[in-house]
Amino acid sequence: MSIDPVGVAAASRWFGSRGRVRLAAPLFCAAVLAISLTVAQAQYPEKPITLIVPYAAGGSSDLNARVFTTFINEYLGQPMLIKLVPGQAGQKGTLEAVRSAPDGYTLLFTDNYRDQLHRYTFRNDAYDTNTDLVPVARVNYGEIGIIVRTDGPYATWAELEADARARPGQLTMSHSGLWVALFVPALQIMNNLGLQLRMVPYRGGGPAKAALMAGDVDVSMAFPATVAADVEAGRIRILATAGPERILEGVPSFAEIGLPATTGFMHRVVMAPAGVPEDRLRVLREAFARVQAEEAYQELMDQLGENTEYLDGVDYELVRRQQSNDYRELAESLLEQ
Amino acid sequence: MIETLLVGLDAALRIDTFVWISAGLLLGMLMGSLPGFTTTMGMSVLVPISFLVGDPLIGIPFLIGVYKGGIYGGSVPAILVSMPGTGASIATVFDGHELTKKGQPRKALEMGLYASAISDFFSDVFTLVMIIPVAAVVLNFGPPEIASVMFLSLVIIAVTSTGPVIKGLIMLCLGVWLGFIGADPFSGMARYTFGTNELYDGFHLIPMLIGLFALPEIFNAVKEGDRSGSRIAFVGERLRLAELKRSLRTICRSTVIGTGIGLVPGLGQPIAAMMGYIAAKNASKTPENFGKGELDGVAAAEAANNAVNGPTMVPLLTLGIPGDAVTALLLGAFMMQGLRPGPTLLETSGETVFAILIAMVFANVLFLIIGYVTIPLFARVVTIRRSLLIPVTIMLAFAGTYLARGNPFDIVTLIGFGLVGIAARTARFDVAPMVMGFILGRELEYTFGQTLALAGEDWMRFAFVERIGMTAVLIATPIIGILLGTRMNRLRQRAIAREQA
Amino acid sequence: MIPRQADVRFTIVVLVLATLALAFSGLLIVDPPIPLSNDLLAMNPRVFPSLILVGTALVAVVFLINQARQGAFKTTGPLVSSGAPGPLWRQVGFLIITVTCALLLTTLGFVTTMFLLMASTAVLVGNRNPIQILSISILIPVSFFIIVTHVLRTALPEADVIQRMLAPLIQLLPAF
Repeated sequence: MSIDPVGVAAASRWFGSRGRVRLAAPLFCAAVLAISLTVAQAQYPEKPITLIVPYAAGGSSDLNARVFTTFINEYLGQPMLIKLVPGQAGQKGTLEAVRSAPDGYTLLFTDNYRDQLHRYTFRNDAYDTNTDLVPVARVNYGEIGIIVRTDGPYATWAELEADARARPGQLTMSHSGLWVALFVPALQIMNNLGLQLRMVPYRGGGPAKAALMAGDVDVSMAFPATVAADVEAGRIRILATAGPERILEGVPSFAEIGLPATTGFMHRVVMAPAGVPEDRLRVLREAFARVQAEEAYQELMDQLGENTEYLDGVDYELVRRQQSNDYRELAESLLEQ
Repeated sequence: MIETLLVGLDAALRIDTFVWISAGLLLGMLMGSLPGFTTTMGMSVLVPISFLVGDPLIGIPFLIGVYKGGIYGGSVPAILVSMPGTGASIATVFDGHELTKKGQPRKALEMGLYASAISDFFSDVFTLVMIIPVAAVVLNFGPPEIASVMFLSLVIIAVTSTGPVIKGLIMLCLGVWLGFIGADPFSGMARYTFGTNELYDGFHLIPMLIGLFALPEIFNAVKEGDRSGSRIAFVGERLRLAELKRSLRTICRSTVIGTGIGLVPGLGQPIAAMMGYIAAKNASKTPENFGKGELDGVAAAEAANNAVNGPTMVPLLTLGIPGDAVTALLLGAFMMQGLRPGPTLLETSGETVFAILIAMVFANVLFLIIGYVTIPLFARVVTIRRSLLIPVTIMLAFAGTYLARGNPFDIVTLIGFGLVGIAARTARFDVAPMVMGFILGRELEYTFGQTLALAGEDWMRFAFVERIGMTAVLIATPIIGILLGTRMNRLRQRAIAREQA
Repeated sequence: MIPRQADVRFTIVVLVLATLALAFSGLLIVDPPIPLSNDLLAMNPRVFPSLILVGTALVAVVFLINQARQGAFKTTGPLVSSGAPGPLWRQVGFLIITVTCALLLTTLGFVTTMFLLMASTAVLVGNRNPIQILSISILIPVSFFIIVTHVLRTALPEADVIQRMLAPLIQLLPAF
């Protein structure tokens, strides 16, 4: 923020010509003080920024966060430190972020399920993500896929769908927990296509995958990156992937099999508590945009198996609204049943 | 496979690997001996260091050394001041602290060291050699099997606790119910929390342990007042070879039990330690000495809880699935080093994996040496005047509790369970079944729910065709329970008769 | 009226708790806002707790019946007894101090609360040497605080006053 010389000149003229000389001195001092303070604050960030990560240690979100926080230091001038606050399906960490001072020194790492769906599935009076959080940047997204064992009875999605219709409630699917990345797309599939599967909970994507490989369940879901090694080894087959277009050869997309194009996306987003000054948000968003150009960052993300589909916070608001609609519909349809 | 093994062996025999493992062991022991500073916390502080080192053959064994050292370290406050820093050291308290009270802390610590090192060594060798078949076995252990084994463990614990079976059952049920306070594991709905946020995560284990085991001891000292204040404990004599030899059988048994429990995902060290302890008590000729300062008890508990480590790594290495918080950390560390644990890890980086496993085996030897040197220092802690030791202990109790999670509510848990522990002691109820019920209850509910979901409607077919293993264990459970219960009863009556004679 | 035996009293408390928890489970267990069918939700939050509470109550009743047959309900005793050769004030004092320190930990700060706790416990356990008491009550919390915050980089609640006092000391130490 810079000092506006024309404005200062205009202000002093106003004081002089209207004869409010006695007010001029203290007001002028106050003005100088205010201006110098804002000039000083223009060097945001001056101290390290805390990124609250309400996920389990060692999980994919934790790892994602560690990668981009390592690189963003350069572009911010200050380190971004991770504070792991797992528990209560992310509500604990989110609450902490919402309650923190909106000065741009505390940020939250979250995903679209927590942002838009959990308001319907968990009783929460403490915060409303739509009014209390502002997106800074979407770091990347994951597109979920439907997986089965290679030595199982299903070679294509059509076969699986047919069997599910023939035997409602008999096919079992493993998931990583209620209302998170593996469960919600499955629910949407069942809703949209009129299928009925039996869902078996597991503590995380890893055990869910293990259950499929052990033959305990018939089908599961996973991000293609996490099962790439298994697909290569010929143990797991991907039957469909999220999105409007095909990602893998010969594997239909969700749009092709009759689902809305936005099904099955997990967007990883960095958010800030509402009320952070616009200029600070701009600094953050710029930093995130510039990290994307760094080759080492791209490489490390690739090693993790993640993409780097960055989207600026402002653009993400549109996605957010879409998600809000999707999940409101989902919740309503579930309540009607 | 032999080739990769030999290449791995060659890679592991490096001085810098050994140095780093030793550093890890020492750090782990120090951190483990501070109640409340869990191994997971310590490891997450050190993961960045392991990453900076750059070489997976140094970084990963370093972390594993921290892990192993941490498990042993937890036994130090358990033995010296009756403060189990982790669930794994619960069973060590029973006899370990009694030995300290009898003036034999050094003997107890050394027995713990040798038992831990020996069992860990054999368990790691077993893992190394049998990694492929073990992977297949682990994969086939699904929720129904886990649930039935947990149920069996609960029954065994209830039936073999000190005192009448029915008292054990009451404490067990109470402990299980306490585990339900908090969020429901399936839907996340709050149970028995009265709407408070603090209770939503449930009670934390560490303040509960410290409160139940350490605070009553401190309270007793306060009760005795001036009389207890000036007493000094002695470091005591060293462990004699004859005593170690006498416990070798127990150590072997505990190693087998610990390794077996390590194979079943989700059971963990606390159960292994308890089962090892109970088995030793059952097989002993003098079971009434258990709980009064029996060296064999310390050996049994410590051997079992260390033997769990080896097989726990198997699902991580072969399938990329972490079984607990520690292996989750290791997974992250592996990935940062560029190794992707999973089915292809053994094929692509087999030599590195074997090298790491071999380094683990060697770590046990280093473990013995480091422990040998540090034990006299640890044991010396109790030689200060009791009127000074007790204040230090209570400070440690508070500090350790806060350190674990940084949550002020944990202090409330600490005091609350301290009161429960004092009350239970006065009423002569054994708190061990309550704690084990708490630890196992939640897991049991989750695996039971999973089993229900897997079974669906046709549960007859599920039980008798698909999951015959689960059904077998379920049928065996009441039989084992009754047999053990009557045996324990008989032994107790005999001991009472002997005392009165 | 209350039976003398401690274990009987304990069991009665447990039984009462279990019955209350069962009776009020509607209020105590929250229902999910979106009800899910059996296919989606593996187990209702009430099932297991109710099972366990019923089991607890049953076992407690069996125990009490057993004890009643052995005559436990015939003798009564005072509500609290000291159980030690000496007045009750030591034990009560200890409990009051620990509870107070627990509640004051975040307000007064780590070092101050631990100082109070250690000093009072030392006195209660029989130490009469003021030099010893003061030195350990000050040295040990302070060193612990320094080790934890500086070496282990973990937070401990601390009053600003103390932190400012200790700051110069921490500066002297080598940075990690």
